[in-house]
Amino acid sequence: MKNLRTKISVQQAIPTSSLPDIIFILLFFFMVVTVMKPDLLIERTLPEAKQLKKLQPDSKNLHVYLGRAILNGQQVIQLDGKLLRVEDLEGVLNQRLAPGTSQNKLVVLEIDKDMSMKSVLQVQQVLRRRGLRKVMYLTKTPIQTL
Amino acid sequence: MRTLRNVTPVNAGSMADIAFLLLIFFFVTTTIQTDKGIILLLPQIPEDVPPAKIADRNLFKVLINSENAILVEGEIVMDIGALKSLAKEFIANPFQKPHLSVDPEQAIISLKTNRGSSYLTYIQVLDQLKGAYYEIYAEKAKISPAAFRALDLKNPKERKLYQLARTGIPMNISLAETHVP
Repeated sequence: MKNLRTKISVQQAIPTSSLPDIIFILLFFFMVVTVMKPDLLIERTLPEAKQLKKLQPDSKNLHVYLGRAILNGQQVIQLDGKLLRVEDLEGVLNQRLAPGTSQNKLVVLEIDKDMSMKSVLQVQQVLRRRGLRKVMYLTKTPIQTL
Repeated sequence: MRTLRNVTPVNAGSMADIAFLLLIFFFVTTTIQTDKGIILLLPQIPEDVPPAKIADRNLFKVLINSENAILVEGEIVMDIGALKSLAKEFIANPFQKPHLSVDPEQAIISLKTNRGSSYLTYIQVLDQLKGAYYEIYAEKAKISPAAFRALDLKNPKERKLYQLARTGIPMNISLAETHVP
């Protein structure tokens, strides 16, 4: 009589040869998704609102921050990592944007909630003169409380 | 004759570690964009053309003064939350009241701020006015206001629904001219 108990050999080691590939795929995913934001040189707390639309990220969008400078607490604008006074915005925009290219640009306004409308209106006046009429006021969603 | 085989394999054992380090770096620096906000079209710079005459009943005047008090059609509104229903009644005018808009197409909401008002109040008021329009659109499209706002305009089916809800009810929120020095 033959041996009934045939040995079944089970391979116990998990193959790890494909591990680098998996990690590379993850890596590429995060490399694509990552958006580097410029460092904020100003302090701004966004106001809360409810009727919000999602901002479609686009490198063509122009981000304008308005708040108080972290260094000295003065009211300033930040544009591409540079600080400037509200009065200087028009000159800088004229330098940066070639005429006629600004029609479809969306301007994302990130404004501190304690700012007065005076400076907000000044910024809007400059944008209107430049033909940058599409704006989005960035806000926070209120935290749901029960 | 013997051929010389001198192919040294590249040591790929540390590849996983390198990729891991890079991966962790991107993990830490990634902020998945969840920016949201209120979209508005700024008015054009007025030319020398005199502004079109608008009947008083078709104009819903909202004024924010420097003390952040809100005046709607000349009356003080204490609660910002009441603004939405006031605006909705003005736009739709379901009972055809003589002092409210003739029809939604001609209704215009005019928002005027003072130089001293705070940005927070301005955004809260704008939020209410937008909310009034979105609720009307959503009712027409028979979906919730949140679902209406999330409609994807690149999708032809959703775009059709969006346009259907908006026909005859343009979002006329106009920023009134404030003198800026």
